[in-house]
Amino acid sequence: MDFQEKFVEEARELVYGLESRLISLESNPGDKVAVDEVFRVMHTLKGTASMFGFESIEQITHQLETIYDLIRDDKQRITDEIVNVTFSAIDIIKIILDKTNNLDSEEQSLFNEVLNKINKLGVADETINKTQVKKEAKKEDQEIKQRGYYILYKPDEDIYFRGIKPLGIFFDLNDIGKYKAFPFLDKVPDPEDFNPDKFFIYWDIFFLSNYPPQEIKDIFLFFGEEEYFVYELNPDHPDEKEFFAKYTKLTGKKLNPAQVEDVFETLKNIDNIASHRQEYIGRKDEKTEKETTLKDIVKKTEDIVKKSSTIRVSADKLDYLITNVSEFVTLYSQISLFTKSIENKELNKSIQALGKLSKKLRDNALELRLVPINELSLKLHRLIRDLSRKLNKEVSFITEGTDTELDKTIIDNLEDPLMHIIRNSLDHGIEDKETRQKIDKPDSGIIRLTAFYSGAYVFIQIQDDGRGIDLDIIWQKAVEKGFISGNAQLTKRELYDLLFLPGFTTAENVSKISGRGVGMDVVKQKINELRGEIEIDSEINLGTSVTIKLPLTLSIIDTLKVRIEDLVYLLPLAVVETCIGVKYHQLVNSTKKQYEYENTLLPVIILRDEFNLKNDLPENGKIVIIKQYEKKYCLLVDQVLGDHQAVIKPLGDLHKKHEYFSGVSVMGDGSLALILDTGKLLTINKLVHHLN
Amino acid sequence: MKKTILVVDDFENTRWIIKNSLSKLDCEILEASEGSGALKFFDGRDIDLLITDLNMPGMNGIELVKEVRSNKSYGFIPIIMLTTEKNIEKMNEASKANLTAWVSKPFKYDDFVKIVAKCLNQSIR
Repeated sequence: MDFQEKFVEEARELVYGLESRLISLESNPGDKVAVDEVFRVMHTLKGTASMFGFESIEQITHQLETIYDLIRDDKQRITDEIVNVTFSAIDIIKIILDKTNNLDSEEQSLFNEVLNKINKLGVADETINKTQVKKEAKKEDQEIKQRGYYILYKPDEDIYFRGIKPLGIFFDLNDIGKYKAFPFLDKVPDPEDFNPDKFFIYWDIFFLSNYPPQEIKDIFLFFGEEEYFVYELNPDHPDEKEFFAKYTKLTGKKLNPAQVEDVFETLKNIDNIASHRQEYIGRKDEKTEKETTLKDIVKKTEDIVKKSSTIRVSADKLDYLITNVSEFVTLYSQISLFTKSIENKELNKSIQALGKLSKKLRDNALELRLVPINELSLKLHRLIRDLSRKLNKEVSFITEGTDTELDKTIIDNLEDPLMHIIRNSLDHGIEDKETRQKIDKPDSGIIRLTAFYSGAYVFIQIQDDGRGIDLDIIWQKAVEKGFISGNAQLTKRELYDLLFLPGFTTAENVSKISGRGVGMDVVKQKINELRGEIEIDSEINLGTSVTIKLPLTLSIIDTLKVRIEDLVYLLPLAVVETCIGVKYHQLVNSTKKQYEYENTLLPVIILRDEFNLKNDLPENGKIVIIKQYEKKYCLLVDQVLGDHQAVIKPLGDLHKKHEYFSGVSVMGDGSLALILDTGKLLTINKLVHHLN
Repeated sequence: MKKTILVVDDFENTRWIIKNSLSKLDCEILEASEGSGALKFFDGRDIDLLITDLNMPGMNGIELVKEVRSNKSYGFIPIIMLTTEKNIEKMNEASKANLTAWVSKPFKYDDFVKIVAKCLNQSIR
């Protein structure tokens, strides 16, 4: 990789991170961390771009850097315009990076336009803001003025018996200012006379605060007049004779102005520990709020640190590693099979250790490929932002569970389908403002992306609160286009599934946004290629939700080996709840085909019947309880053989759409075992309705 | 941890008023109608603040305070006495009993809450 390529790659990453910052900045203009980040990126880009022959990028970033620097120093407020221009700047930088400087004339004019906008931004705002800065500086001057106090704090010997903690005062002082305390220990008796129930220490306290004397005295609410003394003096010139005379009278000691000035000088230089006053009541909420924002900032900083401590590895290398690990896992099951026939204790021990290691290795390797969905949601954020402006609709995008991780390949392949679904939601789902107002919906529509784990699957849901899909229209269109006959009886689910047929579109007129020739059929096909499933659900005027179900990983999973007659089948271990021994004919001969487990009757699927095996029934069988989609059902098999790490291989093209099986795996002895698709078994048997 | 306040007053209405005025502080509030009943709460419970009336049937406020202060394990808790008493002699007697604060009824709601909060903040436990 030459240096320029390296720069392009790095710059891309920077710009990509910038987008997310900008989006958060747009919703929360006070986000200091984001401003810093934007500034930092601009700065880095500016610095490196010219070195690698990207003068055009330098031109763009130079002015933006200046603007964000001003924002950073609170000399400039963030406006919509600035954010918009930054977005267009990012777009043009992306183009420049993609084309390695070779812009065509159209792009060149776009570049000039953006550069113009940026330059205007800089000139115009600088003049306005100078006056603002001056005003603010004046304000600060007034606020800084602090008062100095001398406090003699001399709690009574019996203070404990009044239920007061003598040191509590210092916490209270700390809340409203800064103090320096000098303890006197001369009243403390010798150890043999010491009484732990009494208190002997007293203090000289020098205190710097913005609060008036009455507030300071309030702190000593529970103390008698003889226990404390508060005197206000000028912290810069504490040379009042009256004070020093009084001090000597109170303590019997001498103090000179220079010493006091010294103390206040150090106090002034200490960072304000807690300068805001925490009133005990009423402001409690404010305090917790403050804490959370502080936490947020800490978290954000941590995130940034985390980000920087990663290594980028090319995807090819990872794929190579995964392939090798898969082969290793297969090899391991072969070896472990051999060792079972050789009864050697030592060998068995080593093999067991190897087994554990292979599992760890597999998990680690697979984890390497996992990427949080977050990466996608940022792109979608951008899409929604741009589209909603174009369509003049107000939409807020809410994401949940975007830290859910998925295989990188899946994430990459999900981008187009998700974009398409969201485009549909925005274009056809969400109504424009006027329509929404008419039907009492809030002006701003909502698109929600939710991701979560369930069993061996990840679910991604995209919901909108738009107008929903009219089942009657689907019906009409389907009949019109000849997909179904006019008298067909279809369930709601089946009707929605029609949407996935090629060439099916309910939109009256194809618009620029979503009518780009890529229909829901392509979306479904893409999802199916990832061994996933997609479902639409909708309610008129309430909205539409599209649910995508995806396997966690594409290549290796833990499975349960079961036997029916002579053949071994595999069940994804993640959905297996438990296994129970039963008598075969009890279940087969009963009419209900149900099994009682934990006080509920669960439906039973007798796999032997499903596969049409007519041999004599064995005496004993095993019930495997499957938990899928939060619902349970039973599979009846002949025998449970144990667990197996299955390297999933797809079925050949001819069997791709098989109803029962989702793949196949090579066993240790070289034979093949089919992997049962527990989700599909459920739907094929219409158990869903049963269960509901 | 939630703090526990024990309120002792023979009038249910007063207890109710106190309880409601302290609702902002998010404390657990126990109630007793006179001294000996109040003392029972101290067995096996951590009380963070005692708010007591002076004149009560049975064991009165001052007796209660003396009783509490004499105990080794919980003698150091803050105590607020709440009363309408204007009798100087009685007030003198009460002040000898080592009170943390003295609040005369009728009190201003805000001031009272402020004092209670401060007590909890500056108390030993």
